[in-house]
Amino acid sequence: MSRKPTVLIWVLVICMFSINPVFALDDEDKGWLESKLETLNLKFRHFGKAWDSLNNQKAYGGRRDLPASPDVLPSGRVLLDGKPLLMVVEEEFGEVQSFSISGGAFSSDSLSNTFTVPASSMRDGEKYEWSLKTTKGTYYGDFKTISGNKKKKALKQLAEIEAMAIDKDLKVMLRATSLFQNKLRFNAKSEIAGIK
Amino acid sequence: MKKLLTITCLMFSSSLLAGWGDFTKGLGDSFSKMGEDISKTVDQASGAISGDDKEEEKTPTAKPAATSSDDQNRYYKAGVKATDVSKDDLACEELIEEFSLADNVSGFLSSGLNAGMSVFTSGGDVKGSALESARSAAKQTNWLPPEVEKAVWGELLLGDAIRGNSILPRGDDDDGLYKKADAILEGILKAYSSDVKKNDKNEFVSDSFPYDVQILIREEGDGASAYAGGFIVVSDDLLEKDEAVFTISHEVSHLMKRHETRAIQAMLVDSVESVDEIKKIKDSMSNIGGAKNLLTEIIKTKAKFVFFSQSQEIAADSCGIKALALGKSTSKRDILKATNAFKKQTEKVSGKSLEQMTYMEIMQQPLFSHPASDDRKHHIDQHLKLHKVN
Repeated sequence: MSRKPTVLIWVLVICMFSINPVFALDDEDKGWLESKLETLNLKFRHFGKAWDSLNNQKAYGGRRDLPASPDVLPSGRVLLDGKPLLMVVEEEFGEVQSFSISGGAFSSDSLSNTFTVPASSMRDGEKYEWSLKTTKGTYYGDFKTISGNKKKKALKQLAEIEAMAIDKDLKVMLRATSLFQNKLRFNAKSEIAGIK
Repeated sequence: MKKLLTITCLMFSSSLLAGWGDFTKGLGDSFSKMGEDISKTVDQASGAISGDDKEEEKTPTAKPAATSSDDQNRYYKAGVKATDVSKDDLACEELIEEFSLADNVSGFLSSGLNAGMSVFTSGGDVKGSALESARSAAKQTNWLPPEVEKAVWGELLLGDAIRGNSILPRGDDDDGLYKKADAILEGILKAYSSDVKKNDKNEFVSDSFPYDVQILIREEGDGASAYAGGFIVVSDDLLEKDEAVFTISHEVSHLMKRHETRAIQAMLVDSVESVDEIKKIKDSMSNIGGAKNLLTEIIKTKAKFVFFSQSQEIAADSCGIKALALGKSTSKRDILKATNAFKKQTEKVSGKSLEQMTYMEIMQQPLFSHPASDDRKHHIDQHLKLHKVN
């Protein structure tokens, strides 16, 4: 492994508690990171989102009449790439009692707060709804699995990252960056949750 | 008293920002009828928690055709009187909250000064005093000028959003989401333009639109929010859903009815009076009767907040439909499609009406809560009929 990625990872770890990676990186490391992002046609703004996710920084906003809901559960667009989908329900939402996805895609009443759902139970281009029951309440959500060109584009970028000779944790950060950029927020957060 | 003066100063500063001429004109008018204003405003504000039965007799009621059957009656639980209901235009008779700064500020000043005097003459015993009335009045009247909202609150909130990496920059919008969102917003605002023309009595809105409404796209969540100062934040996911047009119209209604403004005012007033609240709790705990009275009063106050939040949601639903119907930029078919999808969403976040809640549940409610799903759906259906969209 080259020296650069190792140094960069250390910088990332040291600065984990700082507010913004842009200010935390020195010019040389920032330049290196920016060149990698540029090679992959990724924007630094989306790397910032991956960084926020790593630091448990929740995004601003939400509807005034809606309660907060768990952060790492599927919503919006979701990529099925064959791997199980990792889901996380933070402790503040209570202990998971059951989780199910519509159309018989998944259902279980014996789960911990971190669990996986097999991707094989779902199909591309379909809409799904889920419901989660915890000791503190019931939560609902929906998502749509991507297909066609959108899926091809996302998988191509992920394959390019996979082929890079860089540290595995940095790969995760870049994968999350790519997923955020392709509006696959659940997949991105799930990637980050896997290394926490 | 110091705190009251602080609020008073805030009122005056706000009025200066909004236009001294209008303020002095209105102040002069209102001082000439101060006695009437004082008793009216204080009575309205305090009636809800004082248990004065006479208030019910002069309760204005919303149009029956436009409200669910018991919109007024259901809020009597925990001492919340129908006088409070009248503060929210559940049927959306006016799309824009009448905003005449002079009247509102002087009305509040009148009640506030009166309240201050009561506290002073009763030797500072705040229990059941008019200070509480002043507090209520400050939450129920609009006195924060749109200019202040935009300059201070809007930009602070906007700053948070941008720092949080969650707002899609307009220059980075590869999918044309802003074009879509702006088109929806423009269609909705057409209704407000026509409403402004019809409301010449409302000097403020006939001179200029109260807000320069801006839409921002959030790359997070699947909902929309309104923020004081004229900001609508909508998620990119929502823009791909059927309910987008109605949800945005609903949020624009929160802005135009100045619900967010009142929420901010309530927080301001609460924060400057916190010391008195602590004193009140401490003093009342010296005997069981006092403690019980205080706790009951706290629950009633909390119930009012829950009510305000729920009634604002209902009012925003009404105005959301009215704006889409009047704007004529959205077909009836698309309005129905959007409201049907929206109704389905409400099932997932259904709350309870106040009459269904236990006292414990009222206390456990968040500051902003949502109405019961069935009530809300029924209300939406009635408004679709009212505006001939069904």
